[in-house]
Order: sequence, then structure tokens, then C-alpha cells
Amino acid sequence: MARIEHFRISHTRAVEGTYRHVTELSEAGLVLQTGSSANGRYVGVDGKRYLSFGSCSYMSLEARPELRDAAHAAIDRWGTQFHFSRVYVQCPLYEELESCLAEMTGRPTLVAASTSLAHMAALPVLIEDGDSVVIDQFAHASLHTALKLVPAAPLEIVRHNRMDLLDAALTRLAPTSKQIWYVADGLYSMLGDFADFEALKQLLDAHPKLRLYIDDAHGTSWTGAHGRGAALEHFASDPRVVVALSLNKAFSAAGGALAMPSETMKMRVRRAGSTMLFSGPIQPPMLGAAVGSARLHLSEALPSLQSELAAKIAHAARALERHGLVVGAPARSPIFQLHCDSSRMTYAIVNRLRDLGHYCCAVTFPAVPVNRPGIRFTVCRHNQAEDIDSFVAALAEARSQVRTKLGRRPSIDTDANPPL
Amino acid sequence: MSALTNDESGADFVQLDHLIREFYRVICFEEGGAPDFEGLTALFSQDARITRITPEGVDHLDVNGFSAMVRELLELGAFTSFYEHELKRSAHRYGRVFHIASAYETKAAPDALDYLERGVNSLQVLLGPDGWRIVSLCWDSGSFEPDGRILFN
Repeated sequence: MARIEHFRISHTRAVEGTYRHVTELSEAGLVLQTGSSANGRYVGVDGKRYLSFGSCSYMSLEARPELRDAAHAAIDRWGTQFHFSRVYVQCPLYEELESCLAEMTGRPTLVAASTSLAHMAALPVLIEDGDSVVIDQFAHASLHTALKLVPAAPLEIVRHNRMDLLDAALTRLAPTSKQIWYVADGLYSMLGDFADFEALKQLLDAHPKLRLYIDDAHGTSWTGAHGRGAALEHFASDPRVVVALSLNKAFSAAGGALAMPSETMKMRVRRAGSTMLFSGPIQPPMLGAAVGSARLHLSEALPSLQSELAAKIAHAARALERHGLVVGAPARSPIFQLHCDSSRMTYAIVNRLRDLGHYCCAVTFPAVPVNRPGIRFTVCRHNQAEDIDSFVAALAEARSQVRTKLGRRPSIDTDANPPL
Repeated sequence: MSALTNDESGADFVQLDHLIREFYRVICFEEGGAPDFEGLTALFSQDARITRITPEGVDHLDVNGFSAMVRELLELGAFTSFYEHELKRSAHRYGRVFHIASAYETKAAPDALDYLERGVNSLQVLLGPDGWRIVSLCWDSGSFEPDGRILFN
């Protein structure tokens, strides 16, 4: 039989696998559902109302007058669509938004229709012939996807947040690379842990060819000066670091943004990035909302809103500790993940939580490793302290009930897999 | 060479037991680690075939191909640790060949209450000049749950 030195999981098999896993989650009633209401604190799903612990609107800005009024004003002025390709003529709200974002981030900032499309525009332009790429294995799927547009660049995947392995890869790749791009998340969306910014700073000092491309979509708005995110708090003045932000999620509008080290680099991506040239624009209502949100981020109101959320995150951390629940990463962000032994256990706990009136998310492969299924929940400014207490108590109760049931399960000798 | 018998207390059954235990040892690894690829290779005949069946298809691999597949799965973050242990075993000897059905359980952690997967590793083990070596490993992953009563009674 022929020796196989390089195994590659086939594209179709990967698609089939994803389809199977998502179908399983769907059949368990945990994904692909339709909301019947959402006022922030509560979410309605299939006609039932839950306390919401699954939202990405960490700062809970979506109903604020600053955003709504700006969206209404944009519709009144421009209608629902600005009907030109952005290559030819862009809605003037883009200029206003980029100007506000530049003030927010302290950098020339380019707005894209989404953070994913920002990656697809930027990475193929930034990565040049002779460059190499290293990516964290748990970097957001959109980054892995965007890198497929740069097939000629040697690509290495390193284990999550393993700075020692990154250091070794940089040393190994340096002699044959013009630049080495390390691609990572600022705040990882599943585990809720940050990139190791301090170690990355040291690596930037030690490796002159190192460049960073950081997706801080989940860090935007709720942290950093003017909500510029955790990555820019560390690297705003570093010319070797590009940071992508989200104008969805905590920012509560639409689109993505690239905080660039220079105007030249910004214009290069604007003029040569495929999705900047060939994708549709953000339409006026959401551009208006984004401008309203950016203005709010530049206002004196932001720090107190950030503090309010920080207090709720701390409250959740204390509640988890009181109930003896250990989450996957130190509770320093609005994202929490409680590990479960199996997908079965995860589904059972999430369904039990729904019975108790709480909404949160089941995360299983391929969103997380096969061996790390869990319950992902988020804390937003909408959540009241008593809601958080109620949710964490329900989580502890549901977990305990399911584990007790599992403990009583017969062994392989008597039954294969009775339902929980 | 020991007598070619089906006596479970015989030396060959003891060697087989050691080989199977070693098989589960080398494929397991702690958080952030990797399987003992060298140890794994040593357990297999160089002409061995490994057949992995999943709901998406069948992989026909040699030991190098299997190692490459595991390395890719690790790189992509499909697993960050791996704990699999044997639940039950049936072994039948036919001359220099052992047919083994080894029911296994994969867990997220050694002390996990629930399991990630159960299945049966079907192995054929051949007695060669260097002792017992695995010549075939085949298992159905993800679409089959063994029931001990049916399999082993």
C-alpha cells in the first residue's frame, strides 16, 4: 500500500460533517431557531420567553436613541438603499463613519460590509509574495476562510495561545520569509479568553519580521478607550499591527472596520481588496446607526456604560464562584463557557435551562473541539443582577440534575445509550 | 514460540493483553499534548491497514497516513486532548492470528461522567518474527453504539 505522508480532510467530507453536526443541534432544538421577540433582557424563541444569556450585544446599545435616531435620519435622507457600487460613489455617511472611527481608534480606519468581508479584503492585500502566515488554531473561522484566498503563502497553524510554539515557528520561518503574519483573535468568541498581548509585544520586539493581524470583533466597544477594543489598547501605535473591529455585536450597528497603521495601507486595501471592490455596501439605515454608535463611543457617556457592563461581568464571576462552577477562561470578558463531558450532557443542560426560563447556547464541534463541548453564555448590559443570579443558580441546578441522572446510568453491559 | 492454543492464560494472551493496553496508552494524550506516534508505529506491522469509518465516509490508511490524519485533526483543533479506554474485549485465536473486538469509550477527561463516543475497535493481530503486531485496525466512529449484551454475551 502506498505511504501517505500528507493527509488532507476532503472538502466535501468536511461539509458533510458540519452538516451532520448542525443538523443534530437543530433536531435538538438548539440552533436555527427564529426569534419571536427580543428586547434585550428577554428573548422570545418559538413563542416562549426566556431571560437572554446568548446575545452578542454586550453593550446593549441597539435600542438607544443615539442609534435609532441616526438610523431614522439616514433613511429620511437617503432612503433604504444608496444605489451605487461603493467603488464608484459611496454614501457620504461612510466618510463620516470612518472619520469617527479614526478618532475612536487613533488610526486610519476603513469600513467594510462585515468583519468577515474586511478580512477577505485585507489579508490578500497585506500578505505579499515571500510572506509566511501563522494562525492560531482557534482564530475565528472567517480568518481561516480569508487565508484560503492567499494560497501561495506558506501557512502554519499553531495551538491556541501557545506563544512558545509561535516563537519557534517565527524562528523557523524567518530565514525564508519577507514578513511573517500572525493571525489571531483579540478575544476568542467561544472560550472568552484574550490573545496573550504581553507575550505578543515581546515577540514583536524579538522578531522584526513579525506582523500581527488581529480580529477583535468580540472586543470592540465594551473595552478600551472609546471602545476601540483590547488589541488596540496594546498596539494602537505599533505600525506592524492591523486590527479588525466589528460594528455589529457590542457596537449594535452593521459592518466591520480595519484600524490600519497608515493611510497608505488603508488606501491599498480600499483600492485592491476584492470585497471592497466587488461586494455590496452597508446601506444607509445601518450606516446611520453606525455613525450614531460611533458618536456615542466618542462621548462622555461611554465609560460609564463600559463600567456598568464590567460590574455585571464581575457579578457573574462571583455568582459562578458561589455555585462552584468553573468556566473555561478567567471571567474577564462578557463571554463564558462551562465545559460539559459530552454533547448529550450539553444538550440536556441547555434544554433544562430553557425549561427554567433561561436562554443560552450549546457549543459543540466544529465550533469547539470534539472534546470540549459546553455551554456558552454571555453577559450583556441588558442583564439585571437578579437575572444573572437566577441564571447561574439555574445553571448549577440543571448541571447537577443532569450529572445525577448520568451517574445513575447503566453500564455498557446492560444498555448502550439510554436517553438523558 | 508458544503453543498455538486458545488458552487465555497462555503467554500469547498475556502478550496480546500487553499490546492492547499499549495501544490505548499510545493513542491517549493530555491537554495540549499529542499521541505517542513512535509508540503507535511500533505496535503495527509496517504493512498494516487502518480503516476509519465515519458517517461521512471511509478512510483507508496505513500507519503513516493515520498519523498524518491525527496530526491534521490536532492542527485544526478538532481535539485538544484524547482519553480512550477499553471497556470489554473478546479475543479469538486462529493459529498465528488473533481476531479482537475491543469495545472502547472516549471521554473528554478521565473522570468525566459521560462519554464522547463508544465503539468497537476491530483488530487483527499477526504473530511475526518480532512478536505480535497489529495488521488491521477498523472501527466505525460516530454512527454505531455498541451494546455489551449483544456483542459479548
